[in-house]
Amino acid sequence: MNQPNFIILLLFLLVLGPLIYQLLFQRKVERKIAEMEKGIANLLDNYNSLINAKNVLANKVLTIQKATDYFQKTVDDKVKNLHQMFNSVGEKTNLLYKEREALIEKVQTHVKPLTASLEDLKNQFNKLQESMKKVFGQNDEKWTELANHLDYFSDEIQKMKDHIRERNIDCEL
Amino acid sequence: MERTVTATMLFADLMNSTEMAKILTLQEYNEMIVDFQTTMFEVASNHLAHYGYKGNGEDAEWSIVGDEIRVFLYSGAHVFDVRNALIMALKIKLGWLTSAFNQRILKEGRLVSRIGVGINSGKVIKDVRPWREKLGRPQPNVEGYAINLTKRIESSSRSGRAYQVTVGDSFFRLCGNGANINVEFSRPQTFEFKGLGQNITLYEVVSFINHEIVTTMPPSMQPGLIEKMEYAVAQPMPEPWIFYTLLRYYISKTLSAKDETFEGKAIKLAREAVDALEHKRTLYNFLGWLHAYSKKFRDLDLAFQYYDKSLQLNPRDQKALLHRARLAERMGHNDISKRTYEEILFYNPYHHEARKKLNGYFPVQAP
Repeated sequence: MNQPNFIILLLFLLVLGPLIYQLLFQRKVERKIAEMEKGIANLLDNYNSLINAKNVLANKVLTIQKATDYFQKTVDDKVKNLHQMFNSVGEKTNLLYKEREALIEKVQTHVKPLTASLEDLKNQFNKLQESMKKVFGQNDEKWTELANHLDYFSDEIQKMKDHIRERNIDCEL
Repeated sequence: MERTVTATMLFADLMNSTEMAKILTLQEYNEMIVDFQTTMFEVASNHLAHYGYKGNGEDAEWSIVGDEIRVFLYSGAHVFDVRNALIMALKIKLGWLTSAFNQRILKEGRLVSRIGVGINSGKVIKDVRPWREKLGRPQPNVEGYAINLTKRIESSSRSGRAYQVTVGDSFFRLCGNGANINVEFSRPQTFEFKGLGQNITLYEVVSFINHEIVTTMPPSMQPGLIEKMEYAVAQPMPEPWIFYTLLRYYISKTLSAKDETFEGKAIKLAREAVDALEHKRTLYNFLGWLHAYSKKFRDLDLAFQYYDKSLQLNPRDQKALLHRARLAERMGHNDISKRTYEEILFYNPYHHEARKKLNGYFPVQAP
């Protein structure tokens, strides 16, 4: 009597065991699937974000490209103008240079005699200076005398200034 | 060699010397005359040398006889001679006031001995007399009607009420002829002199402003000079010229020494002078100037009032008008300033400052 029960129990276990195992496995798989779905959803979100970022970046790149083009164009225009100006200035400079050359030639023609006379004057002045040096170099007293004369002259000028001021007051009182 | 020159003559003598000769003993009178002559010698010799006169009959000469000094100036520069004659007149007076004789009288509380001065300009003949050559002293003699007239002018100076410096008409005209001399004269007075056959018009100096009077006094007279003047002006009935000369000295010291004590002294003296003297206009100008330009006593309103007082006495006074115009401008009354400058130009169309200032208001047409 006990043996059939055991068999039934064994059979029951043989049937129920895999069933329970399958149920447990299925449940585990479902949990994995749910996690995977969740992961896929996250991935999708990330993908979308990336796509958006990529779009933003692409727009920015486009804007930068446009700005670069505009800048390039502006710089080109300016450089072109500058280039034209440089050309114009260069032409004018050349013209001025030519005129200057002509003027220098003219001035030199007139200045040559003047330079010669100045040279002559300079020589005369140097001679005078040398003779003065000789005169005063012989005797330091001469320098002192000259300094005294200058001091006296300065005092006299001060006296004259005071006198003029006093005369003005005389006339205004 | 005989030569006709235009000379400025100054004759000065002691007043009341005859009366004094009666009162004083011969010794005392002699002491007075010696003191007078020494003082005159110091003043005349020093002054002429200081102002570059060669003397000895070349451009000037002078002599002292008894109680009189005679100075002849004929440098050829008439205004220079005129100015020098006026300065000398005041230096002679100042020298005599501060002489030992007068200082003794002052200390005794008596009235000082005064000097009368007559000045005139005119043609004279300058010639070396043969007798002088024989004597070995060939200084020229100066002769002419102008000398006789100057002697009379000198004697009339005694009746003067201000400076007791009287001048002839020709000298008066030279002073006013653009000479830039700050001298004021009394109204013309007519005198009848014996032997001249006609009435002579004379003028008395009532104010003379010159900074050189004190500073060019002989060095031997300089010590204590100002103290003596200050003492004399504080005594009863001081001579008017002492006020003006001392006031002018104070103003010079205020400017050169930057000493504010002189400003106070000047204001005090000028106010005393207004009370004491008959001729007040120049004193108002002094007070106006002091209140306009001094540091310690600057009061533009008061200065303006003094110049107004001066102009009430003489509306044509160029000095007062000029300062009034300047003051009005400083006080921000440009309309008054402009009107006053216009007034100056009315009397003197060539007045430089007035023309310059008015050009700032509106262009002035050349007269």
